[in-house]
Amino acid sequence: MGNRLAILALVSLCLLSPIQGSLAGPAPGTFVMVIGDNPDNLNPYLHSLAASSAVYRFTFDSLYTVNLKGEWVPALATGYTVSPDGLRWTFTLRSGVRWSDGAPFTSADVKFAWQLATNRDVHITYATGFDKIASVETPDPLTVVYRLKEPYAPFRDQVMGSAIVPQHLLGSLAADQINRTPFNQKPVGTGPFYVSEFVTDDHVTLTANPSYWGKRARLQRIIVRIVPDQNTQVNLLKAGELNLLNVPAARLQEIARVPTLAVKRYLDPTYALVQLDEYEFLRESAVRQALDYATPKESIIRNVMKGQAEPAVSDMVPNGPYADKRLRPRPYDPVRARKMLLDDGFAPGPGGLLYKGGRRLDVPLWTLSGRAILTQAMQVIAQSWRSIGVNTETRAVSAAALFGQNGPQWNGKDAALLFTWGQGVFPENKINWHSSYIPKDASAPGENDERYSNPEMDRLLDEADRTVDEAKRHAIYNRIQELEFRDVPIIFLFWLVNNTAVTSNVQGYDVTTFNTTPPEEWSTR
Amino acid sequence: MGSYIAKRIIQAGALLLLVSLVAYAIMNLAPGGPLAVYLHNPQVTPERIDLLRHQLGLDRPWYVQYAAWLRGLAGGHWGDSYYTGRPVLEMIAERLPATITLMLSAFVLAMALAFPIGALAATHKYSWGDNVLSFGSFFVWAMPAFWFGLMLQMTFAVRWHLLPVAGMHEIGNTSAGDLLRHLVMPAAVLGVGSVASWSRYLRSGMLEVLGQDYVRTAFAKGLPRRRVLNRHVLRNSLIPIVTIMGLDLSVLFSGAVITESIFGWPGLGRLFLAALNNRDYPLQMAGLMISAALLVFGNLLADLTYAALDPRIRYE
Repeated sequence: MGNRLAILALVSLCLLSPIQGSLAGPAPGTFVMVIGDNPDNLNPYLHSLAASSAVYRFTFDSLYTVNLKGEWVPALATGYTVSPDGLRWTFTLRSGVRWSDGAPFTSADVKFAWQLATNRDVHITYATGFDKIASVETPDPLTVVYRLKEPYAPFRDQVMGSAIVPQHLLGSLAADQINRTPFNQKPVGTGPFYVSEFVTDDHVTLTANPSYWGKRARLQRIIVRIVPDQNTQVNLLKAGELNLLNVPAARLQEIARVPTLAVKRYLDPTYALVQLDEYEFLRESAVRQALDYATPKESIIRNVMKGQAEPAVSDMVPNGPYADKRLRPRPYDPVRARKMLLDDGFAPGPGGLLYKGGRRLDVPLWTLSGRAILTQAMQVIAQSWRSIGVNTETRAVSAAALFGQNGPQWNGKDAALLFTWGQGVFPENKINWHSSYIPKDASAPGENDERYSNPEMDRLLDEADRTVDEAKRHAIYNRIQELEFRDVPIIFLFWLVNNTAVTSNVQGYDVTTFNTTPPEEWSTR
Repeated sequence: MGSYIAKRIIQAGALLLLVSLVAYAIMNLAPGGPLAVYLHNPQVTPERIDLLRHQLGLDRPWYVQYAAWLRGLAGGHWGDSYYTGRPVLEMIAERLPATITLMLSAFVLAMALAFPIGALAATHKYSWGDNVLSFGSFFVWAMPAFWFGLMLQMTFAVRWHLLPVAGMHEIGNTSAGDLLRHLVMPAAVLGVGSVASWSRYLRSGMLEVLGQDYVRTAFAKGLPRRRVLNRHVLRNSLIPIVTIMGLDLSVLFSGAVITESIFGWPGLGRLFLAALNNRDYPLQMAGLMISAALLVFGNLLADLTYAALDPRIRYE
């Protein structure tokens, strides 16, 4: 018995005694961050998960990139010109750039990115804007000329900022081979780091690229750990095993108290909304406006979001260049909302609910299950709508049930859907508001699921696509935002706020709505 | 015995075929689908989604897709993941060692703790120790795995810095010692439920056997207590435990889904959870079939173990 106890004690001692270095946090020159999903594909044109872009952003470059202020700055290109008709975009490429395997970067790579993005036999996911290109010319290794089928102003945001992939490695592969090539797990790029190790579901190691065209990275390596559980991620940060984490709101206060961590707060270009499906009463703008007045946005931001959100009034991110700063959200005013409905012909009926033409004002409110903030916001809104006489039942379901063919959007009845939309920082929103994007069923093209239709909006959206002149484009988007506010196709609730915790030994790291500082500038003391 | 095993294997094959058909049908009838991940993604156009649907063969009726999947399975090809484009078998082989390591550790840990606890509780029934062990068993049985896992992390990793929070290895360190340190908490979380249930079953089994005449006779003959307990009581109490242990193989496998997620363990559980979330049908089917096979063959293994434990049991 004594021997057994001694062995047990010895094993316990071995297991529990700290080993020098193993639990002492990241080594000098190493930066550790975490993602929740295993990157499915590190080819920027084939991936489906945000976890993938969180990794390949270190390995690939685009012609231009966005800085902390949201301005376009040169990357693989050093300059560009646009023809007056907006059909010809000419880029001058940076000389001396090499892929991480040593091969030279040329205009052939830029042309190949377009060929890949439009290859219908490859499992391409992200190719918006490439379909507007008629041809790509490469008069010399450092010049690329895109010829567009029609003037298309969002070209800059959608193509100029897209990753360039190596023609010399992928150009000779058949479509099926591109779908399965090992490149998708261990890509070769021109970025400041290259993937030196990818252990599935565990971590990706990115090593500083010695042939990077820009400043040599100050870090030796970035390790991206793959840990799905958010609480575990926070524990990793608190145990000193991470340098960076986007902290969930529920644990923000706890993290803010840790002296070795600094929290950076910034606006996420994602907004929460209530989509108003216009089938019956919701076709009347007075009803939609009344519901907007009866939606307590400030209260939701304060009580549900615990202050981790900013008021939304349009789909342009408030700190971005296209936001119309003159617009203010409608104040919460249930009395005015009820009066608007009474003025619109509704009258109180059984149970205090409002009726018109013998029909009750039914606006069921749906949201996604599994996201506490959405279900809580749904209850707050429903309670308020009921208080003005709207019959509002609430339901939380899966994404597939909410947006799928059997969901509330396709039954021909009024419905309101609460969810978040990753608008991004660029103004392109034609698919949301143009009447040609009202889908006929769940699988049809278009995101105008609310069925909003306004000829002026259609005209403005078409014009915005064709207008390359920035000042004119701003004026168009200001008017678009006025219409969004006036017509209330959706109720804008709030913009999400992110809180990124960084360990105090990290230098050169910053983050805004638009981007982080370049990773080659990050360092650890 | 040989013909019995062959018969059981054929039955298991038929059962698994039926399971695959039902699972495939339900999977396809559920709302959404593999492309639901792109729904309401501003960067992916509906035209592109349509094209992907066609490329992946998802525009064919589900039974046609099932027949193609079954043909592939018969030919040793379990299909390719919709998301990575990689062969499912290759992805499983990559993660299998991690899951086997975790399951085996949890199994061994559960056995190592459950047997002494169950025996101690039975031989000291209604004592102070028995009451404490009973309370402890019910407590850990009722404890959610994710909560227990997080408590362990906060205590041993965050507060005391004794163990790593998550993962299977420190980056660049693949020593056995490092693996053991990473295994402690996940194996404890995965195995603790089995410790509780197995010890309870063993206690009640032993209590029943302890009341049998042949045990009383053995004691009356003057045999040493330890010998009576080991040879007569424990062995005869094992049959219900063996059944539970056989069935628990699949429970451990499904439990690994949660444990692997909490501890960032790079095993099959996480792979199949991601497959479920993404509706990656080929991977999803592989996970379901492995789980079903573990249940069926765990049961068969338990039946065969009966014969080894009890000479009166014979299979014809």
